[in-house]
Amino acid sequence: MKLLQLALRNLWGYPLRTLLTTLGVVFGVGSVIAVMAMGAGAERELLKEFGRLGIKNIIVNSKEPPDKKKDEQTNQWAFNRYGLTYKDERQIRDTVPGLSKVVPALRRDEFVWHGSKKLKATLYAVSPRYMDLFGLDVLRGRPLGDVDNTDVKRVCVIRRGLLTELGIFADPIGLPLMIGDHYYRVIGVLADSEFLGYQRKALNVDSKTKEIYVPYETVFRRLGTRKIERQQGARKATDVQLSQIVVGVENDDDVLVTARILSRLLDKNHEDQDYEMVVPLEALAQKRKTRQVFNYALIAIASISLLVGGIGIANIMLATVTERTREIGVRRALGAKRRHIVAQFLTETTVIATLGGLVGVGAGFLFIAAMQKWTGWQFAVTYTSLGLALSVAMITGLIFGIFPARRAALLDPIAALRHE
Amino acid sequence: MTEPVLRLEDITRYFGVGDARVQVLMGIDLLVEPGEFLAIMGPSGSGKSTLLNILGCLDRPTSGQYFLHGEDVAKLSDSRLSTIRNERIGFVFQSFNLIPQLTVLENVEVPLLYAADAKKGRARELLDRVGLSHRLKHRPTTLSGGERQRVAIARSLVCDPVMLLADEPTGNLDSKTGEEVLELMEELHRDGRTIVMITHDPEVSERAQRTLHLRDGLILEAASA
Repeated sequence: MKLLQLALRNLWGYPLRTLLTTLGVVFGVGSVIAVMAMGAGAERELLKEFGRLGIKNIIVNSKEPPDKKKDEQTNQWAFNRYGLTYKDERQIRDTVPGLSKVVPALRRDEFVWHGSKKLKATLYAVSPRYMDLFGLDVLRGRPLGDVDNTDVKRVCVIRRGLLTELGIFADPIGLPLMIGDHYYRVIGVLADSEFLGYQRKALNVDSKTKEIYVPYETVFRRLGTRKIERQQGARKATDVQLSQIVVGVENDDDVLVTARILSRLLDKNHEDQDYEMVVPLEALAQKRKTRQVFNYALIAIASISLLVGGIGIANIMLATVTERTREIGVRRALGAKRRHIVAQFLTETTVIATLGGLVGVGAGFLFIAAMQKWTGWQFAVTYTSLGLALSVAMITGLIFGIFPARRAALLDPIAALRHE
Repeated sequence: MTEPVLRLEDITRYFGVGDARVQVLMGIDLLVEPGEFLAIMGPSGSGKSTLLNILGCLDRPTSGQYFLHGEDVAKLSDSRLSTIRNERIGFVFQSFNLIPQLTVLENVEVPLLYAADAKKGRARELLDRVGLSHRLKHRPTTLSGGERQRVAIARSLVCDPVMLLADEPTGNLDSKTGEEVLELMEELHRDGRTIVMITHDPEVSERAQRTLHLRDGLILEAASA
């Protein structure tokens, strides 16, 4: 306690010198904190992005194979048939082990009519589980239920933004909407939460939130999946049974194996590459890996400034020892042992480094706040990083204090007393 | 007969090695009784300071035996010597050697930092005794020379040593303040404290009970006052 007080007094005696000495540690700790916060922020962002997607999920999307296009041109009347099928879905459900869910979805563009207002929107024919799978929360009304599916009801859940664009401001629940060639009754309204970057890519949706969700069975059994589009005289006939199958795996560790099984199974059913598989877990691991390399590089750079800070402390303390040789001699004459002298100087360097560390934490926070404001990057300061940075600062002080402290302790008391 | 405070037997001290070897103390025998006030005189280069360093356990003799309170301290470790300096010896230096960053009170308390059983109140008591109780919070640099030396004397007494070693205690003081310091030392002597004082001023040495003359590393005569 006494030592601590003494150390603080000595440092207080030369505020400018103390400030300059700590500067290195301040920058070191500050940059360590900032870098770690940056890493943690990016990690959190990643987890948010992938978490909504579900890292236990595997997403298979239908894709129009490029070479099929020619057929379409030669024979305008044939239906362009490609993509995932109902059969795929059934096979996956029946043969692949360890799955928690298999959720099919069909997506296609349709016109939505309300009165004389016409809008292009995206129709999602999904099983009800799809809704909670991707966090589609109903603002008003209710989400799609199992009964809607089994009873092939013509009901829909619609994005709020779409309602506004259609000019519907009254309570939409129960309102009939013409979607494509059929009428659906609105049973629920969804919030306009946009999908995040990777999520959007994986789910194969664009950023616009003009989606309508209807029961899958309704589309498949009642209306069929064939579709004829007429556009400026040209005619495009397609038949895609499923545009997407989301497969949930029960166990984290089995995701990659399951993905391999799935791709083998699908390869057997599909001659053309008319599907693509997205494994969020794999992508997450990939992204994490690149992040980590980046983080380590940054932390290494930050550590170098901490090292420089430590050397600065050692340098100043050596000068201090020379300057206070007389005092050391007096203390030795009055009964201080070598270890007392070592303790005194080590306390001083540790205190100075810790002070620097504390100021550095403050500087780091300021830097983070500024960066957040200007760049909009996500930062997350974790307690671990605070503790780590502070203890590293303390250890720096200790290590770089040892040399000057030893030097002070080994001074010959007689010579030290005679020192001017 | 009481045990002597210190006994030196044939103490020698060399510095350097080989051709550069210089013998400073040629074989000193010395006995100091409890309660004695001894002055050691001698011209510069006579080995006064070296002797004092050995007496003060700051230095070890090259050969010979040094009994302090019956204990042979000539061969002790650095750590043990530190403890002995702390507990049994009080130093008073010519240039006071107060620590400028500390207040008067803190300066007097410094030896207590290194003592096994620190008696906190003693520092104030002693400062009161040397007449400086009104300067507790002052820095040494704001005090006069005489006052500084009185602080140093208070500091030397704070661990209740068996012996006070004074190295030219009046050397940096004018005659008036020097007189004050000497009176204080005499007072301590009257209280039964053992004092060994180095000086080259015959007037100062007259205040002691006994004066030793040191020349070329040997004691010339032991004159009793």
